Amino acid sequence: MNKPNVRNLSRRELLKLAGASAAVTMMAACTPAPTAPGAAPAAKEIKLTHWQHHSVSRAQTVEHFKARFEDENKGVTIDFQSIPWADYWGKLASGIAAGKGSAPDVFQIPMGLVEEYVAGGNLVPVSNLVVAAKEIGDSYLPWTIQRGKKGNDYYGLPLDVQTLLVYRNDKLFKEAGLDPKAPFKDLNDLYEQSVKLTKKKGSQTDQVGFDTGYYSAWLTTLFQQFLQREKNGTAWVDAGTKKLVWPKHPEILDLFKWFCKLSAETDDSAFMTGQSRFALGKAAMTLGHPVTRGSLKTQAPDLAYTIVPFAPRQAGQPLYTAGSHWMWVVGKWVSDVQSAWKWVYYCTNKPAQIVWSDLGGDLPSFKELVDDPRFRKDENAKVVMDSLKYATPWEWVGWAEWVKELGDGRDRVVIGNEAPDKSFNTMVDNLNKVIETHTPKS
Amino acid sequence: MATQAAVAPGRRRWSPQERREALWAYAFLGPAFFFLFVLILFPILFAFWISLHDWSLIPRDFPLIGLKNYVEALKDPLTLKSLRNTLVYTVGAVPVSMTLSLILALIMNQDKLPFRTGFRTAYFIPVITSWVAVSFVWVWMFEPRYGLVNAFLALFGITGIKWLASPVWALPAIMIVSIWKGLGYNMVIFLAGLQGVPRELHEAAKIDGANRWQSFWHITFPLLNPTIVFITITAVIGSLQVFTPAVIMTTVQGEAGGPINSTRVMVYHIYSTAFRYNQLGYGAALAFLLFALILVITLVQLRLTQRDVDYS
Repeated sequence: MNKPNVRNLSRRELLKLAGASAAVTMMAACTPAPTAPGAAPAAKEIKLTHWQHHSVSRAQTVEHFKARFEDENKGVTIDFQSIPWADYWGKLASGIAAGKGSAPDVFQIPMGLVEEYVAGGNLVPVSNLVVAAKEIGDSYLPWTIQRGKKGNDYYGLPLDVQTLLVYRNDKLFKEAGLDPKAPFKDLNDLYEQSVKLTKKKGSQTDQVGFDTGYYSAWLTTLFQQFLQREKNGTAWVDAGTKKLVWPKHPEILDLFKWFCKLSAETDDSAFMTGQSRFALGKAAMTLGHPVTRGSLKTQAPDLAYTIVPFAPRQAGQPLYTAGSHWMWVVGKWVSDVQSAWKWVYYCTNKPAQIVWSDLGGDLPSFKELVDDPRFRKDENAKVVMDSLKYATPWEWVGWAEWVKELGDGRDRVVIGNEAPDKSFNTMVDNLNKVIETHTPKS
Repeated sequence: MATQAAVAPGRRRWSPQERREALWAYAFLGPAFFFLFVLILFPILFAFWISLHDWSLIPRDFPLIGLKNYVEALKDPLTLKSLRNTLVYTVGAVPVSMTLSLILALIMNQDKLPFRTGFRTAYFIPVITSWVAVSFVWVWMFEPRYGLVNAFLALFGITGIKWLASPVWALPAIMIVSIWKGLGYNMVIFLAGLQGVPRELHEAAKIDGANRWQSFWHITFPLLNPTIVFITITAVIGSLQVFTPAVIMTTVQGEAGGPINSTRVMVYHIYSTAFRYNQLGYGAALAFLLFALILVITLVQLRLTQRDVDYS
């Protein structure tokens, strides 16, 4: 056998070879894909990235819209990412900081942050070519678009619309000789029912009358109800001083004291900590969003409950609830504003809201749908849909700090035995700092 | 040699062979340096730059404010409370954890102990279990009304501890979980240290009439010094950075650190300031303050505990 003609490759030759092959690979990657002979030139390809925090039902709903939208709008693809809650804010911040190419074109933010995003020049308003501002104003419930409006423009369209209502356990109410369907006369009526439904064995709690654990929602509803119903809708942040108006109204301090008393006497934060006490039949009442119906269906499918409106402060007053929602917005770095808003509107318009309700259990924000029989299938659903008519949006400036400060205000009194006046003043001072931090500097 | 001596006064010229070798060395080190700069050094420097600005998570103009974030942090009652909680947690958890794991290691080091490998494995299982899962299970165990811990304490007539719902007991509850979870890890390190102590020293001491305590105190303990230094420093650093149990075990309505900030630890304070309250600049300043604290404490520890060990 002849010896094959082999020689060692020098390092220099190896480097040359590696460099040449890398260059060839890069050139190949940069070369446009071959077009079939006679084929029409490709339409402009538009790729929109869309981020939202993860929830199984919401992700499924967006995927449903994505498939149809891409089918109806050839050339447009939606890169949808459903991001776990814990990662959402970090990823959004770094994406936006990195700018075009890294930032999502469409994303969701709570209504309380829209103003800051707009002030920072990060968002583009809804394109008039997709839907005119007047049409938005005419078709959506005013409170669901109010916090997305700046000047004459809307910077977001609402989704995940929620109000606050009282859930009552029918069995526990009947055992206590109370009618679960009878609405509250006033706050005193709510307090008396809660006391009656609280059970203790010795010093230990066996059943709470009212699960008051959603402290921030409680205090928001109580304070806003007073200002909306008895002070002609006075905003709780003074437009001039940018501070809370609460100290000017002694009734608000009284409401804070009333809530601390209710929470101390008819609730127990050491009882079944961190568990869904209402679903387990250990709380006779709870304050929750309509979406709670979905979790109750999973956690306690046999639980019979009735939803009633929140109690008016005084008997005979019109009903009130505080409403919240998220907004879908479009970043200024988007390559095609019109397509992005077309996608957002596609997912938030009237037909879409029926799909959101069917697949995700969401409430509609379209005026016409509030009285639609499809959303009013039972008595609880009617109460929920009616609440959309008398809600006003939460007036938090910023977001998560309010959960902390309002909760701490209650805890200092109920757990720490601090005087309510002192705790209230601390809460107001801290929240005024939060407002200052989150109010855009003009 | 003669050539080298001739160029000695100035800088010696590299031969082509040496240059090629150096080039290859840098080529191989290049990727590591690249990742070191991009993933570690640059983010640290950039975080410091952010801490000097009024930098929000929501993009806008971020004015340079110098050290204002640092000054405010040192005056902020919530920061001071978080620092205090972190230090209390460290002082409470580390010595207890180390003492218990040393005792456990001494027991597990006995040649005659039956099922020794089984015990070692059992004690190590919590170490490899997820912090999140462990925290959730302990939340249930600490439940005041139906929880296992209070049911057990009731056997001894102890009742009414509200654990995670009490500003007094919530932090100790988290310490208990951390001690339990870290026991196996420290035990294994101590075991490694114990097995490095020469057997002849104990035999010689026994011949000289030393009892078990004297043998431990005068031979084992001094020779464990490097192990103790290692465990102390890593445990203190880990404790100053405690996050997961403090968050999982105390989160109510999305906000952790309660009740009344009694379990708000520094890393959670940094996280919530930066990513929940959107104050990235202030959060970055808090992170550098924690870094400074850890650095100072570690240097003090090294100074106090490090000494030469002679095995001969």
